[in-house]
Amino acid sequence: MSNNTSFATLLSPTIVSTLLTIVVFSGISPSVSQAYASVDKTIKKITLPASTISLPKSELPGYNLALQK
Amino acid sequence: MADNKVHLVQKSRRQFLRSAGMLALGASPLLSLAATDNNEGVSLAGGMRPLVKYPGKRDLILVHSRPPHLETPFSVFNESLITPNDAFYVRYHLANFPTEIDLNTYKLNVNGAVKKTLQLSLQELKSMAEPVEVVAVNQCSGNSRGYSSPRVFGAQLSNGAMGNARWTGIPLRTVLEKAGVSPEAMYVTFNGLDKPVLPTTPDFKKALNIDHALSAEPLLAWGMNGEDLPFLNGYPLKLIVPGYFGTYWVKHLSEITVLDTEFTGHDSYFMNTAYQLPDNDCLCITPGSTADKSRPISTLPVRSFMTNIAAGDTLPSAKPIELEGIAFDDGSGIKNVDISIDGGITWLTSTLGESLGRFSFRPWKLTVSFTQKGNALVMVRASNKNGEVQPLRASWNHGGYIRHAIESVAINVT
Repeated sequence: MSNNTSFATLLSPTIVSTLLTIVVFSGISPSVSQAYASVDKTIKKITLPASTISLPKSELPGYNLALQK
Repeated sequence: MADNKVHLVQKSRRQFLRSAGMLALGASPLLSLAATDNNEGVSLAGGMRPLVKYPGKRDLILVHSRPPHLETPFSVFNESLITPNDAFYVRYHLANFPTEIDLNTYKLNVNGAVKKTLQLSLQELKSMAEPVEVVAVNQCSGNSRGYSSPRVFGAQLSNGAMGNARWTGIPLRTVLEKAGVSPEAMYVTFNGLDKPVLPTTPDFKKALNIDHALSAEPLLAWGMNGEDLPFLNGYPLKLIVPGYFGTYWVKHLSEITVLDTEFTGHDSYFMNTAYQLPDNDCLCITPGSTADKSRPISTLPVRSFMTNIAAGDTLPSAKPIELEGIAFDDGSGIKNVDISIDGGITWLTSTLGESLGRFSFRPWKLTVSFTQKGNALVMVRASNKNGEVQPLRASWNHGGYIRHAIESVAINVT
């Protein structure tokens, strides 16, 4: 009997309405063609890695000047 | 009935071995050495190439950083038929490329031999017509250049300078028709926001002939696999040219110019001087010689790969083993993918999988069983509906372009 009571509790109006809400909203979810997820940011910016490689050092005069810019 | 095939999950096994190795080294003085050994495991003429992380990307292979040139680790192509956005390769030519784009000021300019010049915001483009989608392979002209023999000048690439994505946008011709193309029009050129650092360096401009530009195939795309284009793949707008090499897929597209003349001049360099192939039947020359004539690189030759085995793998004998891979071409359509497990003496036809469109990777699979132990050479050869078949040996050209020879994987059978 106590098990039946617990089950009935689970089916309380709040839970039922939540389930109904999920069902209703899943029914109007975007179709595949509408599922394009555009990000509405006006400005998009990236920051590149400061350094990703170790540059070779040369004894030749001026060789590393260009690399240091 | 239980599936008793040996399913190959090489990536996981390699990851496990690498992780196990790292754990074993954890308490040893070799840890610092192992920590710098962050590479895909493919060695080309310049040695191992490091894995690096760029914005919006997972760890990719660093080809060079000035400007970014990143290759996709080949194991990615065993994950899914669609290449994830964060794994898609990156290739810039000019070091002065944008790192910040404001959609309030961004415009696509359409000019030249048109009735009416246009300056279109991204939102105006999006509302101009019903969006269309195409799944298409973008492959760098120099994909696999690192295997050219004799070695050639240019980025030493393995096989990961390619990817397959679902592109969303509107047909290029929609915009051209709105501008009103002159009846005398011959070419349409495309330019992006990336610029040369020095005035003596040509801008990166590409051209399509007017018939191709007005066909249904080229797209102006803002979406990639259901999301905005990744910044490093050309946000906010990219030219998509299905069936053509990636050099035409201009990133950060900002200008479309209709020409009623030939495309010449300083900024025609990347059409008329670079990305040229010998103009003969094999698109090749003998190393050390020069082609009498050349022509711009264009469409993708038929090509195929195995994705679930790699060189040096050990496979069991006398057990069914399911080999898997991909094939693609210029949109003619894959006809067959044949597999040899005896070094090319005999060939078996694989089963083609789901088609996501004629410009997409096409999956294939074949169950084989190795009868002999020892070294074995597994080969994959695709043909298309246009009668093209992958050649046994790669032809040579000065740029290391359009490599598409039969791929071979040397394995060990135990």
